[in-house]
Amino acid sequence: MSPQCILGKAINHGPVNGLWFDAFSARQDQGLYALCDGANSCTDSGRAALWLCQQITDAKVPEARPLDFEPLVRGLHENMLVSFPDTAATLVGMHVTPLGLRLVSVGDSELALYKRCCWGWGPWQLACIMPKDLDAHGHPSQLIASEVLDTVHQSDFKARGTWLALMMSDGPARVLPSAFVKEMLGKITRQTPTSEDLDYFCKTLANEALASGCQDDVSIAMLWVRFGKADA
Amino acid sequence: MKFRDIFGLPSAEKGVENLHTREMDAFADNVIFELKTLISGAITRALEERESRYMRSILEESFFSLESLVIKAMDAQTSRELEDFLSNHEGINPQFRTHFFSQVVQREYRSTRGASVRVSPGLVPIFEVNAQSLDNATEDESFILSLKGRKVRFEARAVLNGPTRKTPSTTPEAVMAAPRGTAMNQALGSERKTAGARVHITLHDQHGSTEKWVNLPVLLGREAATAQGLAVGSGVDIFGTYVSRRQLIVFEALGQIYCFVPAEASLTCSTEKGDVLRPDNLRRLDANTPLRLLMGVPMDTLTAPAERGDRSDYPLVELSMGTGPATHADATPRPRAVR
Repeated sequence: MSPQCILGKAINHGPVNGLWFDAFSARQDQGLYALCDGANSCTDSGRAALWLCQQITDAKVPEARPLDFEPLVRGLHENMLVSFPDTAATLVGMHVTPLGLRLVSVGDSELALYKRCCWGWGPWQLACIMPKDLDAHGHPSQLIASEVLDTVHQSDFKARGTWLALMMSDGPARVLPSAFVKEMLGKITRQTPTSEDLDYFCKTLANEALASGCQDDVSIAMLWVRFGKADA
Repeated sequence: MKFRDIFGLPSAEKGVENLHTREMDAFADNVIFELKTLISGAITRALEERESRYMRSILEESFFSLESLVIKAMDAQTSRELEDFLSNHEGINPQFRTHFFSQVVQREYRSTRGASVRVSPGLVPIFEVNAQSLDNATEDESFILSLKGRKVRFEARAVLNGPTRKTPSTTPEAVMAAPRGTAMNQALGSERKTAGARVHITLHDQHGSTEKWVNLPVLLGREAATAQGLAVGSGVDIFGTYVSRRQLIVFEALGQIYCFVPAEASLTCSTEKGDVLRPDNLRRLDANTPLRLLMGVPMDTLTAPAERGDRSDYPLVELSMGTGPATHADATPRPRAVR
């Protein structure tokens, strides 16, 4: 049985004179979602990020199993080294299938997965944060289309219960207080949210990041996923 | 002659003069009433259509904004009358259209589900003419209207955007409340500002020399950063003996940065040249020259006291627009292979 997915987003929400280096793409029929953040030290990275996330969501998905992002990302990396030289981009994404969730990350963007605790009756609880590739200076240690791409991080989660994936570019991820994120998630009750509800939460988080002094592009996407009818 | 006059009864209307309502006033009265009802209906309809898509908890903590309001005159006569009415008055008062619609449009509209629409004070509806109704009414149409008794003269369409969160959340800098109806309140505004114009402040006070970039508007003064209240701007503390709590306001308007000493301050300050800043008088910041202000000038003097060398008593504030921190100072570098 296909899971129910609701998507909300606020992409390149600010600042006013932002560079629009973030990109988001979704293929809800295939269950593919990707958020990429181009390295803003390279002028063409915004275009590269858009191309990358579109390629990820346009990928051919296998039947009856989640997509293996590893060969796909490495292939796109090789392609970008030629097509988009002197650019680099992060990737956080996921594939939602009836068998479960597969999460992927490369670089310093954030992908956090929350699950309702107490068999679906309790508050949202952090289930996983995908690894971030950071060096000692807080800069990304590997990026797609850069000279360094070592590891494509992937994680799988079972097709059970209600999940909430929160994808953010590194700008808002750095400045948003976790208490504020928790407060926002707390407003998503047991009732099935609408995409307008999730858009509102994404915009509110993005506005908070800007108010907290974030100078980088601010992009936030939220995906609510429910497997089966039971809310456990 | 009236019946009362025949019997010499005192007239209740004696001394009262009946002023006949002018045609244009009658039109204005009718049109205000009709537009109020119509606009309220249009906004409520737009609100009810949108609110159903949101959780109740979101509606309670947020508000929608009225993006546009289009009013369509349904026939040629109404369109002509309204245009004449507005243009006649605009000839006398150029701001008449804004004033007229401020009577017609409320500040806020609410739905039974808890959603609200806020209307920007400067919003002026767009007037459209229904092209199909530009011809005069035919005999049949006039007859139908006379049977119905009331003619619908306008149609309104509202477009909303939002919702936007009402309550401000955490801020990195302290926030201040400005007394209502004061120049300070107008400078700081009634709503929280997002990061926009910034100013570089260098303080020479009891704590030595400190410098920082702050978002505007900002209030400088004694314990300004630690005061609690409504979130309307940031606060910067000046540590010194002769400093008021609300000493100096710096704000941005139309791309320029201004500062002034609010009337609430008990002391004022002077420039390097010895000019004393009068309360509520604006001073524009020069983009190239920093403005140096020395604290501790009594409000009732026109000349700055000479002996103010001790910074722990008389702090010095330096305001400059300077070159702000690079917008993308934390630009993400492209990782390089270690060779």
